[in-house]
Amino acid sequence: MKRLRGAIVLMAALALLATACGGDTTTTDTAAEAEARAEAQRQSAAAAEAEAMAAEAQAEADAAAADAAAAMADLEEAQAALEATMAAAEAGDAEAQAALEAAEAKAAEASDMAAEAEAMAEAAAADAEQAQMELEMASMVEAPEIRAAEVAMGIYPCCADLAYWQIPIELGWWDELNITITPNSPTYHYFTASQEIVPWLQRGDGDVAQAWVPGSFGTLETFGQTLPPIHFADIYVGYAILVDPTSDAKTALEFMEEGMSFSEAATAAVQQLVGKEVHIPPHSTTQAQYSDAFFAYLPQWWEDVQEDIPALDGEGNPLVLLGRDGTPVLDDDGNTQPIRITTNDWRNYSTPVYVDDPTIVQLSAVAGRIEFAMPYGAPTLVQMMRNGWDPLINFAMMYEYDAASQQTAIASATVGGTGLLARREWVEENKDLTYRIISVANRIFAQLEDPDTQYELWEIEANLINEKRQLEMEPEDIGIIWDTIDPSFNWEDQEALWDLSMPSYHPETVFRTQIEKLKAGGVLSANYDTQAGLEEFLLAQELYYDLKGMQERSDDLFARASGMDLSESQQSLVDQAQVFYDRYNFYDSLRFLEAALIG
Amino acid sequence: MTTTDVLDVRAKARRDKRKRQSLFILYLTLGIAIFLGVWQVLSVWFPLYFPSPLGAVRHFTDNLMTSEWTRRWFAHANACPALIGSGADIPPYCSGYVLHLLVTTRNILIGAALGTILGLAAGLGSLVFPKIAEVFTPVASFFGTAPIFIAAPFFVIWFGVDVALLTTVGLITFYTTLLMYFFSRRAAENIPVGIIESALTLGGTPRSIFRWVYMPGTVPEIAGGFRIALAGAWGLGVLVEVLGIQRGGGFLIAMWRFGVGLVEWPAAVVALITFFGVLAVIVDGILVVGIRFLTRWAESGRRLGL
Repeated sequence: MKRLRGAIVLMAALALLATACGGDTTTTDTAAEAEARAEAQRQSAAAAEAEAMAAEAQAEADAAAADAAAAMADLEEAQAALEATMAAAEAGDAEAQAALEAAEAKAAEASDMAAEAEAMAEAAAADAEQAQMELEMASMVEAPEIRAAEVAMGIYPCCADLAYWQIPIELGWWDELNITITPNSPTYHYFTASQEIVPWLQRGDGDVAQAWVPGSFGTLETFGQTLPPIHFADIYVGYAILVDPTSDAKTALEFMEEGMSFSEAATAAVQQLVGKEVHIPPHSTTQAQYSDAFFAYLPQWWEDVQEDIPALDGEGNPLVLLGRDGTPVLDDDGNTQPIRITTNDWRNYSTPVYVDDPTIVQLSAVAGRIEFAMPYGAPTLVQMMRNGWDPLINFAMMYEYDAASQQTAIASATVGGTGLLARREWVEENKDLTYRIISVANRIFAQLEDPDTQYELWEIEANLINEKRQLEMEPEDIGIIWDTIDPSFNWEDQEALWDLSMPSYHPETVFRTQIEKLKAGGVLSANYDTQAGLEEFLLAQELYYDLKGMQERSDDLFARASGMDLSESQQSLVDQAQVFYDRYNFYDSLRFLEAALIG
Repeated sequence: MTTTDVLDVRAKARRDKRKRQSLFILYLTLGIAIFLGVWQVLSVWFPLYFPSPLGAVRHFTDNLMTSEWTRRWFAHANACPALIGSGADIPPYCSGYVLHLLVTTRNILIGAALGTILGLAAGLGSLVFPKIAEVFTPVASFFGTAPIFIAAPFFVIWFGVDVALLTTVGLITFYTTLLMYFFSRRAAENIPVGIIESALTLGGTPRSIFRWVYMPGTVPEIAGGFRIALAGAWGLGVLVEVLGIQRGGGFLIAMWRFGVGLVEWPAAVVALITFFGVLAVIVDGILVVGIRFLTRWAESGRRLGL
């Protein structure tokens, strides 16, 4: 036993030494993790000791059983001799009588020995059972707590990329995470207008809200940095200028049918807007660049340019036009062509009529009242198109027929999408809740892409939008929006979002251009530090890499668990961790795995 | 025989009047000072939502004639519709607040004036021709008891957002007509029966009684009603513009709503709201002076504005 204990102490010391002198990962461990590991090793040593004790007790029990078996054999032999002697005695042999007595005495002695050996074997078996119980107790693990918490959350249910948060409410996913949504429990605080979102968060009434991320760039000099995005949901590419079905104006596609190239057709189509009114929501004033992409087809657009706005990548290099294959488009002289974002404004050619999306729909219901409209909400767009309004021109046409043009580059370089804005202070105090909320977003997008589940989710969204916006969306309309107008970023897509070396939409690059445009327009100060501001603002990037790290560590632990002989309680935790992992909750997945395998 | 000289009585009355006027000015100044003080404190506590009083004034004066903010951000040719589609460069004054504010003021005054004429015609006319009251009163009662702003969105949808004459002016005229109809009827009903009976005993006919009793007798009460109707018209006119009309102070407020978080946002919104408050007070003050002059013969006219 002393040797065994000495060996355990030596192993523990070696393990501690290895921990102290470990590689890169060890040097980055926190004190808490080191302490947890030491505790785990102490527990492991205790378990090993208990196991050794159990083995020793078992060996003793085995030996006692062997002794009992030998005693039993002697007893049986004595009894056989006794029976033979008794038979001889019956035959009247005096010697046999004496032998009989001797045999009886031996048999009694053997019987006593057998009883003693049996008692010893029972005691040894009890000891072995006790040692086994101690061993199991030593390897028993407990599930980490998922704390009950309230999250004040709001959504503006105008559109598919905002209303999707209704899904976890209706499917009970928040309950699984022990989260209670407030202040309008059991559902969200529903905004009636987009401009209510940011003040609601800023006042501290809410913790988290889904919003149009570029819409808050104008606040970067006031409180924008206190409400950073923690997750990016989608990119909106549904921008279109719609034309009244009774109008004589032709769409770009109709011009193409007359034999024009797309570029010529787009120019002819947009030329019809010059001097006309375009009905557009008021918040377009902070997002005018999308209309600019259409009006850049006008020849006079480039003649009127007064100032170019830098369109740069993260390293300060100018963004250049790229073809469909991702390679730079070269001019006749073989030079790359920089993307030109300018201070020119579509409102120099057409007159905006600022009315919100529902009013646009109402006005469009009267034939001939308005001729051109550019609704910003996808449901409004879909509803008007169903009512017969055609896209004079839209981003989809540009991407399909004119992908390598300056106009499409303007569109790509300036588009945006929705994301979760959160109070920075709240995020810092509630990292666990932040990770869980992000996991729910990723879970929703996974199920929205799953043919087996997506219809139910579309239906939930359509019902909410119809109720709140007085529209008549079908579930399939929501599917069309996600497929063609609002492509979402699922968990796998998020990597390309932040890795600038991967071909994708990169918020960092696109937002830099948009902020520069706001500076040029006087909305932000000319000396605003765009790079520093963006680095601070994009909290979603940091959180993504946190979760990515958790996912990778979970993968490692799952692999380790598969090669181990786990106790029942350990296996239960690993199974729960797998459920969390499958739901993109890498934070709790890792916690449960560490509890199961490390302690 | 009294021992008090009549001149002393008059002197005392003048002293009392001067004292009252001095106290009035003192209390007025005190009230304004408290208001500005609270405003200033709010601007320190909530700088993102409340500008300082001076900041609001500065924004207003900086943007009154020409505004770089509106020019760059949203206004363009809205204030100068004649230039839309002309291809001409938009002059800087089109971006200033002044054109928008003048449009709103004009529309509200036109709407209030039209409504007053129509309401008085219907109300007083019903005194001469009671059938008018039988036809008009049920409908007027229905709309008169409905919340004043409830029809605003419908006017925007019915008449669109481009022709303010029908939407803003139309809505203000509609409600002013209803209010003035009821005020004129009530004013006539409040004339003591004894006066009417005296007129009848003197041989008055319905028309002569209308001309010489009802017309002058209802003026003081109608004037009070007009002040109430005009006060409501300011709010109604600006509200309709906020709902989508493309010119006017309400339009400016509607656009600035989307600027929450911009450095200039609090000053812009508070300055515009304050402007309409101050404008309404000034117009009401002018109205009081005019009504006092017209109704100086009546007790209510003399007490008006005290």
